Amino acid sequence: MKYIKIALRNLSREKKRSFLLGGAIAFGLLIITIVNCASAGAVKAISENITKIADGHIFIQGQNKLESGNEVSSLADKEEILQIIDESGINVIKLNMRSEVRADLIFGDENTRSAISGMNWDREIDVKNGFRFKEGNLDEAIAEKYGIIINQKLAETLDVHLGDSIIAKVMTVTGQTNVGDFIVSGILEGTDMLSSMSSYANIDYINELLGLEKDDYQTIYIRLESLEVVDPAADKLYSLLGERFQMKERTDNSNVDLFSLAFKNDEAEWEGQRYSLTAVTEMVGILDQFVGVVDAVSFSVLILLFLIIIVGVANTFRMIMYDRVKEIGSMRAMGMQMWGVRSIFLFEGFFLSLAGAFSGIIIAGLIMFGLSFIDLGTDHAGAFFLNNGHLVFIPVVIPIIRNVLIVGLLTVLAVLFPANKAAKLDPAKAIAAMY
Amino acid sequence: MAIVELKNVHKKYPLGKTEVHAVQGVSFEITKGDFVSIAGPSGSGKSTTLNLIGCIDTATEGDVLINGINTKGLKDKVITNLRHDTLGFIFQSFNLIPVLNVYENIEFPLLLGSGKRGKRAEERDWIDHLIEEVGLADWRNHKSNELSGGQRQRVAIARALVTKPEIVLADEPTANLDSKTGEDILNLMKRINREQNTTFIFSTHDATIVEMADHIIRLKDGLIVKNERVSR
Repeated sequence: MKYIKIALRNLSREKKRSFLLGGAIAFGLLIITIVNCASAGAVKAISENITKIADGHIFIQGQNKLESGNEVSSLADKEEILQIIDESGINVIKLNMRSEVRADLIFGDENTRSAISGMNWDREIDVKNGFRFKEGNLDEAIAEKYGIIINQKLAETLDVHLGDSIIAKVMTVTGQTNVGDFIVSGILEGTDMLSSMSSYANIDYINELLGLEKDDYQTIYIRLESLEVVDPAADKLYSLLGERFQMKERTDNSNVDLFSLAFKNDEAEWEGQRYSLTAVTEMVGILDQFVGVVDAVSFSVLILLFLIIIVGVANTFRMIMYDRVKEIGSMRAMGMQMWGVRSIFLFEGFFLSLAGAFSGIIIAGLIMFGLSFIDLGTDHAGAFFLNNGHLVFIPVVIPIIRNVLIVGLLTVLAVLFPANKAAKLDPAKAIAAMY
Repeated sequence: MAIVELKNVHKKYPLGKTEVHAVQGVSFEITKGDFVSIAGPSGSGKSTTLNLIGCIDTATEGDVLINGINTKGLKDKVITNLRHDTLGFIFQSFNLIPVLNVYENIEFPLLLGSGKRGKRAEERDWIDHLIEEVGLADWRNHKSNELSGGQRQRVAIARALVTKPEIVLADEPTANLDSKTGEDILNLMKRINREQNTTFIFSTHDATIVEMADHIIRLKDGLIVKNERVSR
């Protein structure tokens, strides 16, 4: 305790030096903390954006292998599946069934690719309520059997207006090319990148293009209360479905394309009807890898940065030792053990790193708080990493604690050399020193 | 029994490629309660002798006995404890700890002991008594840079006495003080020596101060030229 007190006093006696050293440590921690929190925040933002686009957290799809060997998308047992979901005890906030097709949309000389969700308009109350029309209105838009509701940005890309006819080139569930016409029945407000990723059409017509029966669906969309409950709910549901149906093995898939994800990388032999269950968290697996890479790079930068800082710390403490050589000699003469001298230096280094680290984290917190208020807009590709145009920062406690411990350890290691040297000073020579 | 005993002590220092023989076979005894002056000109070996008695330096040859304990070959930890428990130091340039105030500087050696500390209230009273004794009651919360040279040396004296050592070593305690203040400091040391029966051993080259001692050891070129007890 007495050495801690002396160490703290020593830190306060050279305020400028302590401030500069602590400031260097704080700066390093500040950078790494922001990077860690931002990358974790980006993953959450992307997960939520995918949830928003896909309108669900868990997706159940069916697949039927025909005698010909062809595989078709089919939710043949949808009533039974819905019953299992209902009896699972999982808190389902919203449940929808849709078919979806990725189409090349062509109008005149312009073309682009978009996912078109086949909607059962009677069930899709929330989606309908969320529509804000720039051209057209809800009733007319959904009344048109061949109608397609597109986003303003997509409309600008294709240069189409209400009533224009768009050609859609799609693949059927059996892998054949099919072509259909859509009439632009509504154009939604907004140019943000996320909403431009989806278009909406009548499910009957989408099923027709896909080669499905009129009342068929490709996917059951389950929305839960939050991302945090997705994994346990998905595990439970997968287990319950597995008791009744042939299920595709869940893999740690990093493919972000939901509609090719379901039955991709499927090497096991199977026959008849089977189902897949995909959680939104699996779809962001690639992002976890991305975050892992970002964290690894930032961690390497941190280590590099701190090796540089540590050289400065070691050198400064060497100077401190020479500054205090008479004092060290006096303390040794008065009865301070060698380990006491060493402890004072090490405590100084430790407290310096601790103060620097916590300052860095607090400043990082304030910076992140400020940054999260800046509206970066949504009409760019980067919007996928944002939450409604705002940066998201998630406090990642474990990496922050890890970083603080590493910084503390490195600083103490840096101080160890001058601390040992100070401890081993000959008291008589130290007292007589003329530094 | 002698509280300090030096037997044929030599001390050699390397100095570049040569060697300095600072103390060349010194032997003497100091009795408990003595007020001892180690006198001599610069380079006579008085500071080295004092360092050897203070166990902050080791003899190249010979034996240094403190309270009958031969310090030769003792581990650093044991020597450090011996310094803490038996010896007090007063330095020429005071060597106070700048971040601490008068009270804390005096208290500091008490924090360094390996043994169990006494009751805090008793320690506080003892430190307060020492502060009164050295005449710094109005300065107890001042830092060392706010004190005059004489006041700093008074703090150093109180600090040297705080652990109630049997021996106090003072290396040229008045060298950085004017003659009046130097005399005051010596008188203070002398008074404490009488009142507390603490052995004081101080080095000096000032003839007037030497005369205050009741045991004078004169050194020249690392050798004792005179070792006399003076009755007053």
